[in-house]
Amino acid sequence: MIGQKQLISVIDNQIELDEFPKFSIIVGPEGSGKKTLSYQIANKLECQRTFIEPKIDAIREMINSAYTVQTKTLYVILDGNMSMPAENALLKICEETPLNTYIMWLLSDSSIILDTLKSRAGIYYIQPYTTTEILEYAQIGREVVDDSDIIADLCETPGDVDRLRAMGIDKFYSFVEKVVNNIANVSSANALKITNNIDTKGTDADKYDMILFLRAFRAICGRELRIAIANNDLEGQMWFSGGIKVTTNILNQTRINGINKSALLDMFILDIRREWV
Amino acid sequence: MGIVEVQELKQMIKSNNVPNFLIFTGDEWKVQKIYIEQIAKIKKLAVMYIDGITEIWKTLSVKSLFSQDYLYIVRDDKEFMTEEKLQQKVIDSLNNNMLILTLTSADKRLKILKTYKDSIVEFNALNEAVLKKYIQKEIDLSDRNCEILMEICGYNYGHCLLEIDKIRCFQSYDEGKELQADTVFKYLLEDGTIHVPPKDVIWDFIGAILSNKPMKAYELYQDLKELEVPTLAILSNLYNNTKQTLQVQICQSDDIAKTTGLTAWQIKNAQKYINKFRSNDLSHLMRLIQQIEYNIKTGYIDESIAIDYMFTMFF
Repeated sequence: MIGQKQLISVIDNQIELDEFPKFSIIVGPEGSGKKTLSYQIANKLECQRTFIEPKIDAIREMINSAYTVQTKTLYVILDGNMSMPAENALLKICEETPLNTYIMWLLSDSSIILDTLKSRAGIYYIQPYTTTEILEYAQIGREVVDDSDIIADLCETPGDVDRLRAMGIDKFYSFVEKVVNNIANVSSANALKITNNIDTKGTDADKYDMILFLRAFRAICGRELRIAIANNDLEGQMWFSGGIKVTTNILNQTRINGINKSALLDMFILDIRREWV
Repeated sequence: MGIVEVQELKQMIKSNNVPNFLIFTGDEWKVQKIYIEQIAKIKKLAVMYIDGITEIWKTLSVKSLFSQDYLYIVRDDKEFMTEEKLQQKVIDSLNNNMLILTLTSADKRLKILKTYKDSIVEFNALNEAVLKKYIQKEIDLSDRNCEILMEICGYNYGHCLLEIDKIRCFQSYDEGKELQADTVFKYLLEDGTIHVPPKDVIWDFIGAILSNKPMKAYELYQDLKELEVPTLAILSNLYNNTKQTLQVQICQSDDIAKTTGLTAWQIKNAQKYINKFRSNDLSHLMRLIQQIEYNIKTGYIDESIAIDYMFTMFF
């Protein structure tokens, strides 16, 4: 695992002293390495690892199996919104975790869960990755990292690097550049059509990732802003700083749990056009 | 043994062999009431409706020489439903009294339903033929009107009786002259005195908004409220339709599908609403809906007033 040295050393210490909590929560954004960390912890605890969906039925099945399982098991509850009854069911087993069992919950936002659950868990926060760590991850299995500038600009987690590469860095970047150059020139109907190429739900591998799209849009505006400043081009400075402002505002809103990202993307297009047209 | 059938309860009443604790579930509250009266009659008990078991706990635990025996009816008493020790204590001290716990919704995971499964009596909706027979016993309605009434009342006997009561009331309104039940029923339906529950009107509601008919939209919104359609579902559907209308309205190309990426059905639907608003107004509505959704999710606005707020801000 790249980075997270401090976190891993704390966990290693706890495992060595047999103090690793029976119920733990690992908090980190999507693609930050929560599953990889759970794999390492399972190995160190000499446990088998079972993934559990954050649904009430799956939690109940886990509880039933936890009391009867013979081999040491780490149940890893996957990231996602859990209903109140499911959280309450989980609460019961967390108070008295059975002998051979460890429970670990992977979460991208810990503010949405019951405080009583948090108070019973050992909580571990994945630390933000530095650019060097991201580039180190991008280097794995390669002699030369192409487009390291783009990776450093757009990626905050190892998962971002994987997603960016899966989309094809060149293809993706030229799409975003095309959008930046044309969004103010085409008709509104055409501009809104951009949303057809962007995946807002994280389910369509053929489309471009929304967050990476917005970050790339902002990065291109930033690059153009620097050029405008160097050329003392006031109009260009106004134009691209407006683009950065709109994109940053929308990117901030994407962090809100349960927000309609598809509508947010439409707002981005309408706001950018209002700023630029 | 399992759940007690209504027929079995009937037999128990006939043979005066009713246990002193029962749980009644199901929607047919009127039938429940009839059975409660029958049980009280056969066991010579006075019926007493109570808010919670705690109300009678003291009376039950003290013996009195002249006390009257009661049939206690308690509805959805959460404390009693969850406290196993309390359940046992109360049931053990009932003596000649009787207790019926009525549940509005029977969550099968409740432990009390597992522990006392032999005491549960489910009062499900009567079948159509039986219900019709019961209705026609109460009032002289034609077969067709009887079917309409049953449908309006969701095949619930209790609900049917309430509507029959209205018909009876109006039948005797004209002094000295009894009106025909069918005539009164038809009149009350037209008048709205017998309320016909609304059907799914979400698309009509969206259509009314996008056609710039605020009054109609507001009336349909009342129906949506009655149907308990979630606010976020209304907003989400309205948003998508507004966006499609805007896309079609501002499209200057002949090939709308290619330019907008919409399907033929979406275009056909959106074309019904184009040019009812200026494009700026439609994009304002999109922005407003997105903002309302954002405010709901961040806790700035309550879901219950979100659509009213949208009406105020848009029209």
